[in-house]
Amino acid sequence: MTEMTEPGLWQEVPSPFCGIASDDLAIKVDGNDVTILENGDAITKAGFETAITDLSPRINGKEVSLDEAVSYAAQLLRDSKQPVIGGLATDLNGCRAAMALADKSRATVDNMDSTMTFRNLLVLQDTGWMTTTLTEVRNRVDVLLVVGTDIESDFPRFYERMVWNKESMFNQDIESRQVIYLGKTPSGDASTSPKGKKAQVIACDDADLPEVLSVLRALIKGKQIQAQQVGGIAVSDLAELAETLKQAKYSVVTWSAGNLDFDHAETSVQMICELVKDLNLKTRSSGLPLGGRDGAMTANQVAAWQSGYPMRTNFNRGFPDYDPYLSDTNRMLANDEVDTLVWVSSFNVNRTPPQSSAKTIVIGRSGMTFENEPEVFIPVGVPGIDHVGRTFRLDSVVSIPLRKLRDSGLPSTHDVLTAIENTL
Amino acid sequence: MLMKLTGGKIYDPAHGVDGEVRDIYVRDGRIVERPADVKIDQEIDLRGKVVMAGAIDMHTHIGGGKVNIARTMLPEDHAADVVARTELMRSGCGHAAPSTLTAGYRYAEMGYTAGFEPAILPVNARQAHMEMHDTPIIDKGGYVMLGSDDFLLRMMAANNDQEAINNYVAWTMTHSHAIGVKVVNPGGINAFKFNQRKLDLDEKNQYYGVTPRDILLRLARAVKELGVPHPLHVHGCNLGVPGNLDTTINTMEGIEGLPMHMTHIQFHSYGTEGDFKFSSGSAQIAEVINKHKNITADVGQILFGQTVTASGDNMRQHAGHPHAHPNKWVCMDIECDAGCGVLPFKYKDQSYVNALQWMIGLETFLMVDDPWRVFLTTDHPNGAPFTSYPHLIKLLMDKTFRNDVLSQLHPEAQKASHLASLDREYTLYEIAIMTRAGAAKLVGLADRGHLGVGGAADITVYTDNPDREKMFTTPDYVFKDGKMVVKDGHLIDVTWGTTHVVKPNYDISIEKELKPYFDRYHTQKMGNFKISDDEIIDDGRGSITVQPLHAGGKI
Amino acid sequence: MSALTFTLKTAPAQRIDCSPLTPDALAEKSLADIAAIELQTGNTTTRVDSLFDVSGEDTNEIAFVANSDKLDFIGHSMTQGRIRVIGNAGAYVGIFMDGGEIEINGNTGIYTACEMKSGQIKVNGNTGDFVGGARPGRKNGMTGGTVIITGNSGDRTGDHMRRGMILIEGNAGDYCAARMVSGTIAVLGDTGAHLGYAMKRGTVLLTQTPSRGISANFNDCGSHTLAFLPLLFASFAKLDSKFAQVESFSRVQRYAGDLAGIGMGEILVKI
Repeated sequence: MTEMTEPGLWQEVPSPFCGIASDDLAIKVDGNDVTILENGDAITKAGFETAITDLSPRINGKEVSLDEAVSYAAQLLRDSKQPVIGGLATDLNGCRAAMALADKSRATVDNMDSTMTFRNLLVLQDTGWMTTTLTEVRNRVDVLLVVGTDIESDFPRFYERMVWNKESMFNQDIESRQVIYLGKTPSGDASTSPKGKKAQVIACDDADLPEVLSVLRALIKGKQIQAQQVGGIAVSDLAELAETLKQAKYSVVTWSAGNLDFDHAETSVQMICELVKDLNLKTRSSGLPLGGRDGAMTANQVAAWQSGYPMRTNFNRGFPDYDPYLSDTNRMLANDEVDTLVWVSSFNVNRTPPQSSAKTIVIGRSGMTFENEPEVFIPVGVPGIDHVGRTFRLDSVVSIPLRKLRDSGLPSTHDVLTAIENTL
Repeated sequence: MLMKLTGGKIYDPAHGVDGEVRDIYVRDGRIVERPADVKIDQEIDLRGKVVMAGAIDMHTHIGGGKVNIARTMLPEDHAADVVARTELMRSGCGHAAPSTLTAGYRYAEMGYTAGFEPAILPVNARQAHMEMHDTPIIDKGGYVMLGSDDFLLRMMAANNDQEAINNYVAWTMTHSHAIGVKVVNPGGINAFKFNQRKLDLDEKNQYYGVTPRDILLRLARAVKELGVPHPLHVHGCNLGVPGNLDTTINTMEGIEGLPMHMTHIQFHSYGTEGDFKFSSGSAQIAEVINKHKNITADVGQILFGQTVTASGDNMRQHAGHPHAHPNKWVCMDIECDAGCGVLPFKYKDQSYVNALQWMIGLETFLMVDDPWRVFLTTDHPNGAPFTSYPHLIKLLMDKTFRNDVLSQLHPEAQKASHLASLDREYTLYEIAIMTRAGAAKLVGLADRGHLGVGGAADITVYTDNPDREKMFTTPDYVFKDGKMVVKDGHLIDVTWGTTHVVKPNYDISIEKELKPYFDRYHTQKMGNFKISDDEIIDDGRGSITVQPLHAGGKI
Repeated sequence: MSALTFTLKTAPAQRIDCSPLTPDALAEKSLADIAAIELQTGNTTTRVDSLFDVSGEDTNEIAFVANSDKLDFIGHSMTQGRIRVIGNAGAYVGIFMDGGEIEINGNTGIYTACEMKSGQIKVNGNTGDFVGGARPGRKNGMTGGTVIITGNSGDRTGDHMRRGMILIEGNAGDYCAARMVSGTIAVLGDTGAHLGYAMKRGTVLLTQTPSRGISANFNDCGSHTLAFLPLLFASFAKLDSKFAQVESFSRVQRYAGDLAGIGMGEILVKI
């Protein structure tokens, strides 16, 4: 358990910032200063070590009390004809409070990473998938196929923890694990084995990836392909890859929807998921969707159990109404349909609200700076630093408890949103 | 505050009360003795009404990963049954995979005051509790799934003694806040990860060399020796496979007299006779249940229409994927702990197999003699959504109605069943046993499911309507912990129920093995796996009720 | 009788759900009743007459005059009559439509003819994405009827389409016929990237070779003379469309795919 082993020194601290949610960080806390001592990386360093600046809420740039800010925010919501509760980078109870507030104010809910998350969710809702989770990967993977994704830039410790771990429960020779990239080339050496075996790379452009995946699936199914090449890749190379996957005992096909950054990428994700299903007719293979930074999984999970739907659901009519297109709040904001935006962003000071004509209430991590000062800014604490919380990992299965590491006096997102709801 | 419920006909099988007219006094959420000379603050006239304890659903998939996958996967299911916000209630959705809020409201409006999630993966228990925390009014709790987790199988392969296994089971129950232990396709979920596609009772897991029979015996013994009141809750091998009847009988007879609960036994009662190579095994199954007093069962009745099946049994769910309707499905391997499979499914009355499944379920209800050992479930939502319980009760209580429905079903299936010849009609007293007293006893709830002094005042009041479906759909009143929450079938107050758990003792030395196991193989620390009491209590509306262990519970 | 005409007063900030304003829903209603209908817009409802000037009286012949792309669900579930839109329409034009006609003199948003069953929609302009598609989670897109687009279609035209016809006089966007199950899409102009992606069955008829060629996930099945094509063109003759003027042909190059799936979709290219 996350615990203080000596004054100011915390062990087994989980990171809520990236979807892997590593919980082996050692952290030093001195007043409001936080320093990672062990197992940090670029993402967790920014996550834990960003300094607190503001402690006071502001209305139109002027410092006010929390009560005044809450009343003002409630008034904006009361007057709103199309409120959005967006961003939604928060923990379990922050999401619960956001859903309650959305229900009461007839708002639309959305998460700042929905554009990428929906590349997966639309597949789940259309054909489903066969997937696995991190501990299974760590112990069982023999072939890892990485599709269109540079894992290490977004998930710096993925290989260390899930692929090149010291040992497998099933006495697998870790060095024998095979890593193959299809599409993007890795940006660093994280995928290289401990003994120096480099990942195989079958490169193509994103624009060609859909057809490359389609041909790969056809080859897995034993179909004859007339073409010799697809997206600059020899079909014979893909045939070899198909054979490798068919021979594998527990292949894992992984992608990060954030890296598949092209229109309609869900059709490619669907192709991946369907080829995994095909492989499972004979052997075992699983998909592993990477993602879920800054509480994205938590937001979708809580929304699903409280409303039946994931993000991009509106309560305009007093009941949940799901539309991943019309309730895409990026689209709504760009189209001037939103008059009031509640932007919840408690993890990353750089994730500020998109520019829009809407009146904006930012419930944001202290330290945030704005190009345009929002109507209301309420600085809040970070789950897992300033208050307790819980967050879901990228696989949506494991959730981890977050501890309070320091006493900054900043309120939690839950407290602020609940206060607004109670004032409505 | 003292409340008197006056003159109702009381059905309280826990105390042998069968339709006697009595008054009930309620104070501070509990049923109390008739007080002498104390002013009654509120009196409710229940003359002519039927009074039972609040109903308990002892097997209903209301929370946890696979349920939430089902919700997320099925926007079309929700759109047909959206629920608008009211002054009192949050908005949500209903039908096969309802939102947590709506599920709580609807259970209460049907007179249910508790529901138990039967398949909590240890590693996903935190989520199951989060969802149950957001399920209003009813009490809840869950059975933690073991049997395909690598830690147990490693212990068994290493031939650890029973005490070590008891320790592990108790540790897992404690830290996942469970009230029972469930095993799903014993060892089969694990075997599927090694690409085994079936695992019969005496078939070995190819890596561990352990059989389902070994697992069942070890876990059933652990549950008994720990003094956990709820017997090992078993989803057996070969779910849905024609001919699985023999395995099911073998499972029941092979448990060496240990207490064991066979869940959704309808799905495990199939023979291979007839032109369709699919036949009813309910007579043989009922005979074995009747003979073996250590065995209890819930039926897992199917009812016709669209639903979704959500199970830990990814081996069988994968095998069933060609039947997904609509054609979308999920199977997951999970954390060297378990797995899950979610398939939408439509039961059709003109399908031979589905019609016979319906008959097999009802035959089982009618042929198991002892209502204390058979329980009313649809395995929500796997056989049908829980909102169909009043319809199911009518099928059990009204032979004419049952045979009318039967006569509309697939004609060949009708010929393959002797359901029409079964005359039994359940009485109100027997319904009260199945859904209250028996369920409370089975789950291990000392203070629920009865109307005796000291019991929690979870009370449901019905109008005695010969149309039993109407009667059980809209109770006149429902009291939860003494508070009136439903009037005339409609919610009038929203309360938050407790989480029932047991806390069997264990030797902390088990953590000496578990901690390095987590460190070496897992992607989460042991300490972060454990769920604290604070997480259940959370914002203050949650609470934990520790139910007593059976005498002799020990390590 | 003159068409019942809804003239939008001012461009709205929020989208307006126009589903109550169909010939079916308004039949038998007085003008006063119609004026008082509450339409959902944003998180509130607003009376018809505060959003629109209402004139005319024929509920079987409805017109929208609107300079906005925020009028959604026009012709929702209509089974008969006619709706004209002078100006742009929003999303879901003709959703669940089961008869009658809709004509748009402007562009449409996403999901034109969503899950349409019967009837005709003509867009004298361009459409958004997902023409004839199915809402997320649903398996059946358009199951009947005809959609004519005089301009260009957006992406994912005919996604999950089951039956019926989509005729595009201009160009089709990317992923045309993606995940198509059955039915016919014909295009006089060019097609975008990923034509026929994950297509199962059904027919895409092209009068010219796509500028991007045919992708590797389709196999070339050679040239064929298909007797049904002249019959198809004969059926176009009665349409108010350039398709009525296309000279009939029966010789095509046939490509089958998407090979990743059952591979029974066909792309037919005029030779």
